[in-house]
Amino acid sequence: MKNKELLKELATRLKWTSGEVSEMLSELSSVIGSHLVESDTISFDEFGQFEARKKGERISVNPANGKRYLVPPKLVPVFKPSTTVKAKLKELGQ
Amino acid sequence: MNNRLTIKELAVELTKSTGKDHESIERFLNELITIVSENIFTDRLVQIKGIGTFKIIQVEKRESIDVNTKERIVIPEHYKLSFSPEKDLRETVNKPFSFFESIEINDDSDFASFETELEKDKSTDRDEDMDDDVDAIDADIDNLESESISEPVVPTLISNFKTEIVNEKEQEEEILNKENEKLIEPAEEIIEEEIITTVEEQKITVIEEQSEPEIIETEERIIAEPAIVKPVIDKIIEEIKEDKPEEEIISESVPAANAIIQETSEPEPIVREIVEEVEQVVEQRYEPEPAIYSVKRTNEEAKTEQETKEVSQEEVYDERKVNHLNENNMDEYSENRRKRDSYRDKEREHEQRSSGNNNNTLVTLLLVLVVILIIALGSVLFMSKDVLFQSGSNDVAKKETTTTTDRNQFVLPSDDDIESDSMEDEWGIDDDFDGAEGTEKSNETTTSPGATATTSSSNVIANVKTKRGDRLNLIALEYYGNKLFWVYIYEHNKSKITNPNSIAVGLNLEIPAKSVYNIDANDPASIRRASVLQTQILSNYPSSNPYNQYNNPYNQYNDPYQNQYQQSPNFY
Repeated sequence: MKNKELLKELATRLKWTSGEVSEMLSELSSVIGSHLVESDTISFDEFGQFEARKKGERISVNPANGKRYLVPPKLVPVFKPSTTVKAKLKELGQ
Repeated sequence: MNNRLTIKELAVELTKSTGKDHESIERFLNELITIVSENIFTDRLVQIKGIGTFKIIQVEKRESIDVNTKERIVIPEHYKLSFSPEKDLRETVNKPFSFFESIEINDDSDFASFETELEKDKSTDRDEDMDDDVDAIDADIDNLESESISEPVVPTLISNFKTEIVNEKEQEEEILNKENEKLIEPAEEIIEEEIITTVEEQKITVIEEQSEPEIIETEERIIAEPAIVKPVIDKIIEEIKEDKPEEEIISESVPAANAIIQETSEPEPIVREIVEEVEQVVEQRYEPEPAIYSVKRTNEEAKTEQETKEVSQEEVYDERKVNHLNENNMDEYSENRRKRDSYRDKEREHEQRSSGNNNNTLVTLLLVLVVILIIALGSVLFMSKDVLFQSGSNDVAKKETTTTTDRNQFVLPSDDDIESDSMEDEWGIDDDFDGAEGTEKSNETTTSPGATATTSSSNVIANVKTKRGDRLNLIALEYYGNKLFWVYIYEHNKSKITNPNSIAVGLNLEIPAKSVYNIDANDPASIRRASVLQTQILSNYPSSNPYNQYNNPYNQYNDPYQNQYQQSPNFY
């Protein structure tokens, strides 16, 4: 499902205009981003939660020239699926 | 911070920012989630603009080992939900670390040793005051830059000099030793010892006094003009070698001459002159020493510079962070740059001046040589007359010691101190330029007069006036050979130091003698005691490291990389 389809679907269900929906979505993403920066978790019941994780620094090698680089630590947004989603995934496998 | 936000709380936030009513926003969120969770299983992919892409990925079956039973098991094929955040979201989340950049690592840098070293230093280093860190980082930047400028010259220089200096130093010592023997031979045993000690003390004081004000100059000179300095040293040594036989004669003849003075009590100006000349010769002879001494110093420093360079390279992250935090820092940095430029100009001036000095010393040395030849001839004549040689030697030895004390007065004039002080004022920028090393250096120049003054009290070996960028552990390293022993300096000056993490500028710290606290850098037990004491002290003072503060919000993650990351301020 692409973003356009999602917007359409949401607009029809909420009876909003697609402009409103996209505006709300962008607002949502900025709110999520600002909270993740502050190391909050954002949980959507039945779906999962977003959180920020820190990836440690590491040494990586550029395979092309064999040079070693120290890659700095970084914060990454991650999504943890809820148990219901996980259960569905399991069903999908069988 | 650290909250768990639900849809309701999120809706509250959104109503604030959009102005839509709470209910419809909640409905929007719920609809969004239902649509996503429905479609993810039908389409296996959902894209949400501004957030990211959810995908269901098939994971191939694979073999693994059961953790409990250690049996081989096959993990069956399954699906997992992956989320790849959009670039915008990724960047917003990574904002605190966004100024980090990948750094290329030199192939020759040894990481194993690095890590252990850092492990050792970590405990002390990490708890430095923020200001100190900023200073150190500034210094590191400076070092790094100056290093990169002088890099092609310095390493070769060092290796050349090292070997030469070692040889020269050895030769020098031999000559000096022989000289001492010759001087002392006719004298009595006790006086012999006295002379040795006085001569040696003399040597040291001469070296100290002469080298300290000149250290900076000579360093620059040596680094910049190897071609000039080297031949000078060589020549001096050659001259000393040439001098040697004559000196022997003189030293033997001096007692004779003195004896005659004593016996006849007739003031003979020539003989006095001889004595004075001998003194001069001895002094001249000491002169090359400081040069060599400082050359050695530069070697050591260059080495440490190389080390710090590596470390500083690692600290670039740290520095960026602090810069990021403190915009003023950038101004400071550029100011340092400007200062350094002016410093370089001065440096050049000094080079020119000091090369002139070298020529002067050469000329004076040659003159002295000629004078010595004449005196030697005269003294040989005296010797042939002399019968009272043996009996006079005793007095002569005494005389010798008194002259050394005279010389002592000569080499410890207050002018010297003033000169070095003014020089320091003039070179005050050195502090900013050289950073840690600079302060160490200037530390030494300020402390040694105090050190000589306070050696009388057994408990204190030196007084240190703290300067900008000074750290207790650096002072400890200087005086005790190990950073950990800063705890004893702290213990000794507890009344003055309010927080060991940030010592005030201008404090007059007393450096306790090693014996007071059983300090021995080579004794692991002693080091262990210090580190125990350190943890005790530091537990009273919460760390003020900016990096730690910064890091705190992420401590909650409790991830396996945490420890690794904690090291990074030092690591970089």
